[in-house]
Amino acid sequence: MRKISSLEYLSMSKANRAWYKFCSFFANLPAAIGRWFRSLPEKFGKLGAKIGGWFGGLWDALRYGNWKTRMSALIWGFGCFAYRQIGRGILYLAYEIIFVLFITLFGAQYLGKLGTLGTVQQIRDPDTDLVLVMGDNSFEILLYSMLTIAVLVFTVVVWILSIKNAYQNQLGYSIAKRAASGKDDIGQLLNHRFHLTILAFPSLTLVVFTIVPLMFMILVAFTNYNRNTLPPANLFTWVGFDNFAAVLTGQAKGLSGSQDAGRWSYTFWKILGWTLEWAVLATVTNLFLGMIVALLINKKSIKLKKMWRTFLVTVVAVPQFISLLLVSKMLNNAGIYNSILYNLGLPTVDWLHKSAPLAKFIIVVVNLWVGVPHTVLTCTGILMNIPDDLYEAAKIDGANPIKMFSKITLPYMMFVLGPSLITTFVGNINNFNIIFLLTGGSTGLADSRLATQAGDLDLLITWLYKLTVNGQQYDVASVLGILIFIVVAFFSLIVYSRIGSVKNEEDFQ
Amino acid sequence: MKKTWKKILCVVMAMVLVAGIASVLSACSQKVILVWGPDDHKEIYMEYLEKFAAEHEEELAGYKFNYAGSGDAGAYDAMATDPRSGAGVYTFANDQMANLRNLGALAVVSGANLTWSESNNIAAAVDATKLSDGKSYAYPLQADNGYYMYYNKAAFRGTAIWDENKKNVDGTMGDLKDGYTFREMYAALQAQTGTEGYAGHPVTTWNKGVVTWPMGDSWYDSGVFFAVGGDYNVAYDAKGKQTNADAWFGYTLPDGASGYRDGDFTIGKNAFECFKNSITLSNDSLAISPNYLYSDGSGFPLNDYITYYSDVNDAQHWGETPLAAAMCGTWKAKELQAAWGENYAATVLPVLENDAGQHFTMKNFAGYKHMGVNPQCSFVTSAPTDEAAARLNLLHELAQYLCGPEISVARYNKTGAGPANKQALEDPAVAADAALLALNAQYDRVCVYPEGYHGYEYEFDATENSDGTISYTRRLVEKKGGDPVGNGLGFRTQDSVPANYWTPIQNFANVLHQEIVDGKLDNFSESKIEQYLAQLQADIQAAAQ
Repeated sequence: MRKISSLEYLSMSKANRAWYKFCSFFANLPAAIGRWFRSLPEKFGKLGAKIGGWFGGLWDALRYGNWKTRMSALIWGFGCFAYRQIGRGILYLAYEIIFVLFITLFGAQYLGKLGTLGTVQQIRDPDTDLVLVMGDNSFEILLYSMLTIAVLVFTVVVWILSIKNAYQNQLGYSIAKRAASGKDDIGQLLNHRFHLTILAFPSLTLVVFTIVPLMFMILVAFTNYNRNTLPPANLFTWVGFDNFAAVLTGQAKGLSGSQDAGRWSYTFWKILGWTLEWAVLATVTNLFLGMIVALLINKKSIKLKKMWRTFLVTVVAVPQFISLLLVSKMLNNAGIYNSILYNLGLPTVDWLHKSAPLAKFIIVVVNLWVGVPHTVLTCTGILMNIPDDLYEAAKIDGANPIKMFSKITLPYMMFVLGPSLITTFVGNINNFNIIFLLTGGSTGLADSRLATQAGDLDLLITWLYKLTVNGQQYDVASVLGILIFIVVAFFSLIVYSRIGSVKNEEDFQ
Repeated sequence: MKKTWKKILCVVMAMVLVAGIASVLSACSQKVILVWGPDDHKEIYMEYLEKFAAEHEEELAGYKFNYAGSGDAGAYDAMATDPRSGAGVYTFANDQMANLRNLGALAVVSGANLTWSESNNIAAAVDATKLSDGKSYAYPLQADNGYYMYYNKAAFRGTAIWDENKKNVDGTMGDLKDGYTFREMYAALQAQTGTEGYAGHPVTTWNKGVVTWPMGDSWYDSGVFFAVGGDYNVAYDAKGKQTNADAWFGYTLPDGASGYRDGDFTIGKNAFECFKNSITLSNDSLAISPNYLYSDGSGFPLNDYITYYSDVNDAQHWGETPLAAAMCGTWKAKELQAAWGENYAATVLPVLENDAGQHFTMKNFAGYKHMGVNPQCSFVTSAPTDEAAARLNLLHELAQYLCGPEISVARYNKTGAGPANKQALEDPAVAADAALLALNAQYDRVCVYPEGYHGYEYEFDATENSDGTISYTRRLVEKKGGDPVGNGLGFRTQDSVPANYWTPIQNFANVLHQEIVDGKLDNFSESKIEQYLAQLQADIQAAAQ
């Protein structure tokens, strides 16, 4: 796209300016993404320098340390014992012993099989099914390998700490003739290093309950872990990018499960399309309708403002899933709407099962009912914060209401609503409740080309849920999880980095 | 002050940590044999588990029983997490058998155990515990899953299809005549005289009672396809992976890539006409019988009608039409009995009729509940091999005990679950149950079981016509040895098909229903019907791939 000067820009008509802005946003998108990627090496460089600096300390300690310090690399805490730092020494040594026991008795057997995820098949007596050889358990191998790797990383950190500690003792002893005692340590942990004390346990749980399972689940995407390979009676193994290829291109061979790869990709793209369609529709309709209602309520001539707001808040106050289950009953074949139609002598409509477009329309409308109050409340807050003098000044200058809206109200609102729009959009991509509780993800007129568990109204997130909970198709579900993350991250990063409230933070007020 | 807070915080955190570890450790040290079954059976099972534990104190040293409600339908999902921490003995619906076996969570029932199973239980139920390798993998627990017809005697008494001299399944006199069709049922209801209604319920002038049949739920719809000779086959490889599925709802010929030929949809066409004729008044128009009520598989709006009956004075109910008959299974027996009182009766399903007037016996799926023994449970695998064998036997013994006559009768009395145990079936209360008797009568007509499907296949005889084309005739023949269907996982239960296998059938019936409701007669031309069936056939094969 041709770059134009400010003079040229200013000489354009309003419509042209808006169009120019719109086009330049998309024209600049590749460059912006490129810039971000180009800045990556620098970012990594900085990170590397930090880590490198830390390891540098280790190098110094080993190079300039005396024999006691160097001995600490083998017998942890040796440097502490040598300088009468008994407490720390015991801790280091105890950790080393526990670590060695952990690896030999537990970690090694799993880590050693990580490459194949197990090769020994379960053997049972053919006459009684008595288990003779339990066999390898791929699930445990993968999970405990992750745990072992986490422990290994932590151990390397402790090992370096112990050597550095010994080196510090060596340096400190030559000056003060005394190393920090256990009492000093405890004192420190309760005072200026209290953050370590308080964060130790949460960090541990974070690693064990979040990071290790997360790693596990990401790695499942590269295996054939599904209902046909459930351990321990069966083994599963690495399949590389097969699952991704099947879901994205439909080309992969050898994806286990009863379905051909083409079916997965057909389903994925179809569901992704509807997911994005839905997210845009839901976000835009909610925004505009919410804004209109908020403006209406905020109009000076409207009476009983508080009452109207209370009505809206009531919708928010009722838990969403209760509202949705109720609405799904109302939309039922013989629900209230059909009863009314029936009593009026009109033909009844099977709202959610007649056709996909109708069902989608209904979903968007129901979502308006559930979502508009939220937007109205936010907008009301913003509207009440816009200084009246701006409007008065505009009025004196002869601006009409439309002008005032487009020049004062809208910019104000968009400035604040921008970031929340992203949240809403991302929230809608993953809007499990409304799709699942209202429709179960399907009109019941399902397309037989869809892969297992998928319905024609499913979002990626509801399909993922059904795949794991009902289908035991963990491999594909994991791929979907990763792809959802990518989609969400893509939209969030792009939009977030381009909106006014982030770029021109000071502009507000 | 600040320091005190820090100290308190540290102490609290340490306590939480210790408490957490302690509770985990104590949970691990408890040795438990899990038993899974339905939630509402808990009391009965606990009682009998305690009795069993008292009799086997020595063998069970250090272990105690723990009953958890997983629900028969949820057994596979619960077991799939990890069979080693799953139940030692558990109940499940027979459609999960192949999957559970693939999980390694079902021990084979052989030798003396099999002898016990065969001599104490009804043959059809024992057959249902076998996979296609002929081995049994569970003990029969309940034989009560299937659908048949409940009806209100008052609605049909004295009508054309009523036979006062025929014995009802529960032994009383008066029943519907053999071979009654849907249309005859509707006509009988229309012929009812008087407007006071029956059983104290008001009757609208145009509608004298409705018959609910869940056309549109594929589990029920498939009954129509089975009736006219439709069938399906699913094959599994040695690992339990599904390799092939064929549907013969409009059947496939062995030649040609397209898989089917125009004009060979005899089965499908008959099914099509039977569907149509089960809800319409005549062949020539698509006017729906006012006595037919669309109902979905979840029991809607049947449940509303039952509620209606439970409150006789509630005349405000929509439709204001009494329920004359309902097609469903044992799970509604108690409610309907309460609603209809002495007029409550049950019988086999109606007969289907095609446009030419040919009759077809409606067939349905038979479902059973089994008791399985998990050879991977920790009680067995944690012991050395020779002791483990004894422990596995003890679990078999427990399973047999829990399928025994005494507990079966107790289960029936509490929940209405129909036993598979012969001795329990002779119990006076069980033997007089109309619902179970109707079900057993219907079982005789069951298509999939016990007519030995897993051992059979279709063969096609080709004959060359004078104009050079080839036509086929289909024969059911016993499967010869040759190509085995895996390690016994070719069992033909309703759920041996993939979940979305059902969608095309359901879709087909829904579309059909809608066309009839909309009165689109044009869509019932020969070519249009074939188009529908070709689509159905293609959809089923695509879904089953």
